[in-house]
Amino acid sequence: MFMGIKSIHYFDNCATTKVDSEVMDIIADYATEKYFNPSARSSFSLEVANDIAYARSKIGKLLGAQDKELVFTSGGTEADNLAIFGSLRAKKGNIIASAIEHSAVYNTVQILAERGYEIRMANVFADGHIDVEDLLSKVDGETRLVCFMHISNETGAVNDVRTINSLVKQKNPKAVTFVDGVQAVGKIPVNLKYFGIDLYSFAGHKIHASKGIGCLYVKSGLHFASTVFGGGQERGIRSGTEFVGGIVGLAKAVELAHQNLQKNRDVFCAYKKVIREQLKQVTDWQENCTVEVSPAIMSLAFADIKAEVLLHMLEKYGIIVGTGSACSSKNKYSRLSKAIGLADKYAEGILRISFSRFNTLDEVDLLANKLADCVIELRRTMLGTR
Amino acid sequence: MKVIIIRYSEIHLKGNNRDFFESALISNIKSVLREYSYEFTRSNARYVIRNFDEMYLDDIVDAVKNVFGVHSLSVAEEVDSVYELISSAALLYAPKTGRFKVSTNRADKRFPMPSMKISAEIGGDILEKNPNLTVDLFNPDYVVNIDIRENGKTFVYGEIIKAVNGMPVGTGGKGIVMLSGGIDSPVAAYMMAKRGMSLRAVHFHSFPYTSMQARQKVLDLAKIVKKYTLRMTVDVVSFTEIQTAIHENCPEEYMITIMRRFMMRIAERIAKNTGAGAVITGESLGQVASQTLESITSTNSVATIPVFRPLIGFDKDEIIEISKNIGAFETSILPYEDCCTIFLPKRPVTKPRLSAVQKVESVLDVDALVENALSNIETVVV
Repeated sequence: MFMGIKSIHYFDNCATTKVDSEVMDIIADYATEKYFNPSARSSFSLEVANDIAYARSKIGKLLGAQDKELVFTSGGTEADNLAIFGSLRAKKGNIIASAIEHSAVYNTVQILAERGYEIRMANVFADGHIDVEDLLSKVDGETRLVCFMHISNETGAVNDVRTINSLVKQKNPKAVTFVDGVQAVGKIPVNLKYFGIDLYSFAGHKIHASKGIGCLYVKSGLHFASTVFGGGQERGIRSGTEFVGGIVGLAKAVELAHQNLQKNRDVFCAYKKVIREQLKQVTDWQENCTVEVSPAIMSLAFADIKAEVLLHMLEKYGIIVGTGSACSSKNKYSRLSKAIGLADKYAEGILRISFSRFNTLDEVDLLANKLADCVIELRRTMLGTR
Repeated sequence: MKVIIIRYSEIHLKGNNRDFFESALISNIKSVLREYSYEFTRSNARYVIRNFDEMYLDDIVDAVKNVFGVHSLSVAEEVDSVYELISSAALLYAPKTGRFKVSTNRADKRFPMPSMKISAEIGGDILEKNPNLTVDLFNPDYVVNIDIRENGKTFVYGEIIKAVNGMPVGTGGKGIVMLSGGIDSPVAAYMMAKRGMSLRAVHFHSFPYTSMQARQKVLDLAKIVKKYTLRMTVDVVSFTEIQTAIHENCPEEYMITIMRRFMMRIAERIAKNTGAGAVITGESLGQVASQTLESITSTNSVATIPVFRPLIGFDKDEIIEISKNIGAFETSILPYEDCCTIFLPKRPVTKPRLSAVQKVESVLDVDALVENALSNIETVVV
């Protein structure tokens, strides 16, 4: 029972997820039993230090990274900040980012603009995919950093990381490539070595680990200067006593996600079909991305509707969905609707449904039904019956 | 010993009512200081706070500075009226550079030197220790004040800290302020509290058309306003039914006018139910379509008690300045929609004729809608 609602049907898994009970047990264990500081001198400390090493190596195997290439952080935003500030060597030059980057990247590169770098925004297509040609046209000899998302947190568009990376490197081998993988890890296969990129970030709380833990991949050999100083933990890149339970829990979460990768993809695709079927009774809506799309994300636009009102109407049934990105929905107008050039009538009506392995078909049925009902009801009210 | 001297403003003008104003002021000062331990004394035309923890000196000064009715404060050193003690206290409050003077008030005529001489001597002591200073009796940057009192004690202080002035809250009746979540209404509340009015707020909320964050924002604003009104209760009225009824039954261009009339009716009913005698709005003439003389006439005509609009003659810039000063601006500009922006007509009437409004509105069961809204109020004490 939460806020008077008996059961919650959670479809905003892009914003955050429920912590898996196995992960929770791990976190609790390290908080109350094995709470030793991994950097202290006792044998107990060594034991937890080894647990961190084991977790790192487990994640590395699943994501195609060497142990020493993974740096644990407090989350996605910190990983993004570290990646951007840590990889810049030259004092000037240009930085390229896609126009729909998450605010953790978007606002960080804006800061660099104030420090004298030229920021070039790469266009995106209507479904949220990066316009690779446009991005490449912006790469030149002065390009220091190219940032883009693996999966758009708003439309679910999956970008071809390996191809984009190799095209960028062909034009400027010295340009550092940084990919925000927050919506990708645990949702689609990720092989960092195969991708060939320099930096990659992801966060625990999007995959049923806890908030407060994230990870940055720093390719071996990349020149990297930290911006966080202290006890030298995480190879000096991110000092600070480790959140051991978070780290070991993250490894467990990545493992569980990978066990379910194929199965989830099929199940989520079936969920999308149920919703599409039910929405046939509604006119004037569109799915914002349908090809090369994350199985876990369904971005819908409804004409003449404010998505936020729809979101609140669904709350009455305990159904939680998202509008655009939760991290940016405090901004009145989505950069997304502008960047992807949605027709005006759809611009305020972007609703984001995102699945997790805890969703059931019954819940999806309920969502699909209530969504169709609410859209019809809302249009009737807003457009008036006179 | 460090003490805080509090001076009050207009209330000494109020003749026979002085006790009424003073007891309100004292109780308000005590209410903002309820988390601290201190000793409070009343002496003629000022109050003195003693025996507080010096760690909280700045907090206490800040709290008292914002109590309406307080004119100014000084942090002072209280010493026995002995020349050497006064002189060394004066050194504590003297600047290191610039132009200064010493000003003495000798109420205790037993003290063996006249005021002018005390000032001169102590000025000399200060100069001796701080050779970079110069004395300037007519245009000083800084004044060291010496107040020799009849009880054998002396206050020595420097800066006079200006406070908010106004009248003690509770001496100017009680009003209901319509709090929308925008910039204007918290400022309107502040202005009325400044004239001594006790306030309660009403907020109209349109879930699911407006979010719970928008409601929270208003409660946060109420908390900010409470710093000045000292107490604050918000009646959150669900306005969705009324808005949809207007939207479905009345011409679009009258939406806002009729909405405002409903808000006024409900606010007035709450006023009557809670012993308040006025409604306060943040309207400023001509700012938006609903704030033209004609629109205000339409809204006003449903009210039978006074409606105060303290911002009526203010420019937006002036309102924003006050909003920033009272610490509400940052919260006010958070981008959550309030109930006025949904169902927003493309072309609202800017000069509604009252008779036309009444006719358009007559299709609604006004009484039933108002009663229903009143019976579903959520009262939040912030």
